[in-house]
Amino acid sequence: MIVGNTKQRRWDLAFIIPGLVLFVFFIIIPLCQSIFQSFYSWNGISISPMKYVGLKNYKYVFENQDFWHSLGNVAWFMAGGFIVLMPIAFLLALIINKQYRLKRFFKTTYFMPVVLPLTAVGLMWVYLLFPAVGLVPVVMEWLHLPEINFLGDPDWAIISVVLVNEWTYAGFNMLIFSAGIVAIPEELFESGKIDGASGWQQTRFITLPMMKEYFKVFSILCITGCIKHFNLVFIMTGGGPNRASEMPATMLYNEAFVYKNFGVGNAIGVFLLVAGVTLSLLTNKIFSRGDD
Amino acid sequence: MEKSLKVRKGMSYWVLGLFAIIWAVITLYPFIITIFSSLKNNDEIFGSMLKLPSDPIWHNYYIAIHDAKILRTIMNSVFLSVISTIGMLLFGSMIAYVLSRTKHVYNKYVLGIFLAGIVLPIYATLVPLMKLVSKISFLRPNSFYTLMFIYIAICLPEAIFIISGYMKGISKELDEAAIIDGCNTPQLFFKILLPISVPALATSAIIAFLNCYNEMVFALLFITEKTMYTVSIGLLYFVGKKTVDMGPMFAAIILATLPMLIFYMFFQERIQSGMVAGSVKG
Repeated sequence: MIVGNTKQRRWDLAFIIPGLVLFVFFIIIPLCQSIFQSFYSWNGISISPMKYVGLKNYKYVFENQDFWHSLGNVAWFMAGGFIVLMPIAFLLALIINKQYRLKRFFKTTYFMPVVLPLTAVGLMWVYLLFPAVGLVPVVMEWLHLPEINFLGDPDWAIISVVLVNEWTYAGFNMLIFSAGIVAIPEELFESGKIDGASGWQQTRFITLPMMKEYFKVFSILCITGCIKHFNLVFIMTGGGPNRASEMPATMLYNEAFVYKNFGVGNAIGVFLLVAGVTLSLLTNKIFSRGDD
Repeated sequence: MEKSLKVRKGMSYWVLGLFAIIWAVITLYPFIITIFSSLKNNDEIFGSMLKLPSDPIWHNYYIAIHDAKILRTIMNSVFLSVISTIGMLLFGSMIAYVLSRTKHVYNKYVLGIFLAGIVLPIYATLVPLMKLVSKISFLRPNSFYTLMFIYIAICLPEAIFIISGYMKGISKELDEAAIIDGCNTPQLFFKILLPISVPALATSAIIAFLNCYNEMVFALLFITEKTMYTVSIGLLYFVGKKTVDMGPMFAAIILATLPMLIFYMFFQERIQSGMVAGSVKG
């Protein structure tokens, strides 16, 4: 009833347009262009023409061993997310919802790495993992563990970055699980206590089943986040050594801006688009099927 | 029975508590080592990384500020983030107003476009954006305009969701009353709705500021001029340089994180709730 006025309608449009134009121009149009440009070859010099090459860029990507390797690294990221990050984040969520005297301190501390510049965090870890002199190698030597060149060894580079990633984001995912724990009605725990359930039993039979929804959220965020991961790998290894820790997004960057194969970069970009959308739809579908 | 119950409850309490302390140490110790290292020379960093600096070298901080120009990069980042945040707030809240308080046909399409922007990986835009920017002289590389516009665009969807979520909760009778009293849309928006929505505006502003300050890849692409470096690229400059003086580098890391640390201490609750709310909706 209130939307009748033409003057008002014009104002509403005027309110939407600036933000929408900016968003379309800087995000949506480039996204569409990346599809179009992925069929062209271009060396990045603005005056040199783009050349139509058909599916050549895609052929190059899919026949490239490094690309398949980068998908393997995505799998490492996902594995790390579910095997390392999820349990730790859940435990941290339990901690900040218990009556510890240092509860506030714990919560503040755990979340802290998330808000700091990732470049600073990544750089810090590069030197903490530095062979022989960094914190981690020194501690490992004390424990008489074998020496590992974390970022220099092709087999370890991606694992190291994954672990630093989990270290950084444990506090963030803790809050997701914590939101779930807070939402559980207190009476359930009360009646659990009366029935004689121990702390672990309460967690196992009350907290965990009540939190299905939040495990779904975690899974969706984790899976869709892993495929497009860029920052930490880029900062800590740049995709090296010898492209061993390359992710699709870092490969896009390196192909385009280091090797000047802009067309190939776009082809990887399109792959990221398709894979990102497919995974979002798929995970949402899989995880909402269990809802009923 | 009563007693054994207590003992068993205590078990989980203590085990979890132990893990709590271990994880706190794992989180904090790297920062402590970094602070130590920022006050050492190379020999001492490599020789005894874990020990307290024997004789703190404050000069490292001088080098980080004076030679690596880390304060300059911090100023650049803060400037860029503040401007982007203000722009984002203005555009975002205007869109949020329309989406949450009117029933236009186009609302769902607008919403759809912004939703798509959240789901689609931003990295696919890198190459086309680079090309786009090189064509438009106004947006040439090494102008903060380009980054500002990109940052505003990136931060918009989350802000729109947070703010429109909040505005939906404000009674619509308010709008009707205001219009009957002769308010036009801008008056209604700026004088009545925005002041009420301050909590949501604050949350989304804080999140946007944080994201802009920490952003790396677009700054890396569009800023090559050293005096315009943001914090992230200023720091990247150190990566892989093992022969350089390490002390100043650690000092630079500490200086670069300090503004965010202070920011976090002030706005902890809002940052935490805002980031979780934004990501869960997205």
